[in-house]
Amino acid sequence: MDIKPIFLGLKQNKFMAMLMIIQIAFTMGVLSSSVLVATTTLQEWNKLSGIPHEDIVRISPEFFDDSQDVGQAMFNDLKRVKEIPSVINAAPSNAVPFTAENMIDVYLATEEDAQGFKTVVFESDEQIIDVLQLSLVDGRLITASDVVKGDIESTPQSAAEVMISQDMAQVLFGDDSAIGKTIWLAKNADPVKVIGVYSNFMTGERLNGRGKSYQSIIRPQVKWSQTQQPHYLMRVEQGTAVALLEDIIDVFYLERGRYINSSELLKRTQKRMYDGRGSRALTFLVLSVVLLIITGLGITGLTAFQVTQKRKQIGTRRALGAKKSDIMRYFLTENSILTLIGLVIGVAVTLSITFELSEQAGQNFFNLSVLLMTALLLWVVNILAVWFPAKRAANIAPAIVTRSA
Amino acid sequence: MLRMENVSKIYRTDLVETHALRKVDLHIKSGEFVSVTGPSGSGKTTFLNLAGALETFEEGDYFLDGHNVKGLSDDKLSEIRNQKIGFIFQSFNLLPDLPLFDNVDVPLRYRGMSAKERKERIEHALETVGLASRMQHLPTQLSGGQQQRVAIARAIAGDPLFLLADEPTGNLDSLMAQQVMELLEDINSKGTTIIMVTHDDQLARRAHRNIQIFDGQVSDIEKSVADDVIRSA
Repeated sequence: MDIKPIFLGLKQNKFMAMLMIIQIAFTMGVLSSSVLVATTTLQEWNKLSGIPHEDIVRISPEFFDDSQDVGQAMFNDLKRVKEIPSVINAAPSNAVPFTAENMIDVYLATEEDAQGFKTVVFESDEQIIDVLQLSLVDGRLITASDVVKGDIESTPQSAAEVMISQDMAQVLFGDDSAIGKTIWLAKNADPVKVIGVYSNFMTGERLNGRGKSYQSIIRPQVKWSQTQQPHYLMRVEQGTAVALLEDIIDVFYLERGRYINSSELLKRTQKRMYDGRGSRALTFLVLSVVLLIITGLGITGLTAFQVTQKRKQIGTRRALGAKKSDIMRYFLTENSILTLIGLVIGVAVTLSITFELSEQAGQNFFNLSVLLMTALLLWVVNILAVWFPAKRAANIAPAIVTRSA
Repeated sequence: MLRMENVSKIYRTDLVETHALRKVDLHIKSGEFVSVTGPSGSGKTTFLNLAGALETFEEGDYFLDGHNVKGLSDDKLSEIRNQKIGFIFQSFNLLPDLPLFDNVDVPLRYRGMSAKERKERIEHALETVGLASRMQHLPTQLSGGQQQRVAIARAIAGDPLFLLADEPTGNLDSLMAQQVMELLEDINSKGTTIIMVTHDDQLARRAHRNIQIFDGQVSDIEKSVADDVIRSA
């Protein structure tokens, strides 16, 4: 196809051409940014949790009677719950997987300008490793003798040794062994020593969004106060979690002076984590589809308008020897040229939007193949949008030229 | 060169059947300058459409250069229009977005000629009509007469079998009409066949031969008789 006449035609119809280019560029910018963010979000759904979350139950009790002995209650709780058939193990924990509670910065030095590394600290006892089914990667596991237990007020000391996750070790120490290394859980805190590295598990949404899903620390300490008690994480036999939940809650109600603030299967906690972002991704995608339809209809409208305006010219071309396919090709090529220009501008817009979003979210949204697929989709929609008015143009009878002007 | 045998054209709607042309027999030889006249509604435009392969017909045969046009596909008809017929329209029908050079280029591009050959033909055609110096002008920058000369250049550039002119001077003042007519006569004198539809008797008289259409029927009149017929009409 000779494109010179098309360029000459576009030169004389700059306003229409600009309108189409702007429409395509805008759609490409919004569409691809949305698709990039949505696909990045949806891809996270495939990330492994690293724990048998379908078989883990969380209970969060809360005391309202200040006269109760919380330490004793915790001892009783753990003893009773482990007596339930099908409950394999239980551990107290101040944080729950998938919720990113207790998110802090961990440091390799205490200087003012020392770099912080995002992490979630799980304060728990030695059973947490078994409850979450974590495996030892390096060093040693925490033992009962490592665990610091006690009332917050009467137990000022903290555990001086911790285990960290594989990703945490990689981020802090690269390929070096983390064992025996010193880290700080706050700049003004006492140093703690890494004694072991465990397999990764997902900490929660806020770290997921930053691509740091698996950075965590387990500190062997369990502390409580009169009004504050840790969560309980319980691993049960496979497939029994739903049926057991009520039994487990009943056991916790045996202790007086408190109520169960909340209880949940970790399977649901994980779903909840994705729900918000899933809805956002879905909203983005729905808006993108709507925008795509509007753009398609817009292009169809503009082309149909052009065809109506140029009926006599199209008829003249047909009279001078253009086949129907030549007329189709003319409109499709013209549209392709405008689409190409629009897409190039749109890609530039997309890059700046995703760069900005990536900066804000601390997460890389850019994905070349998704960008190319989006561009291809927009191209196809535009071709379809032009196809019907172009077909109408091709069907204009050449005899129109002999009718009165 | 052009022969119609028993050609009829009927336009049908749900309610009405209109016989636009009835059993037309006609033979036009190479190099002739033929005028086609007739009152409004007589079938002139239908004749023009059929002769120009712009429309199909149901009955009869139409031979162009020895080949029957009847029943050919739309693509084949496009090729015939492109290669064998040069069109000149009353309202010029230049493409307003294209400079003169590219307007003349339109049919040549559809013929798939090389850029070099097209350029030579375009320049020669525009020289023939006296507009070689204005190749890059847009049609809107020209007078009506000049625009029609560009249309003539476009029609002759492809070296067609014949020129089909539809009221070529209908939108021009008398001076410009005179110039365009002289140009057509000049082109004809060099061997190009011209069929000109007009209702201007004076112009019709300047043709070698006049074909009159009344109520869809054609009477083919030799030059000597034609003048009398036109005069008495």
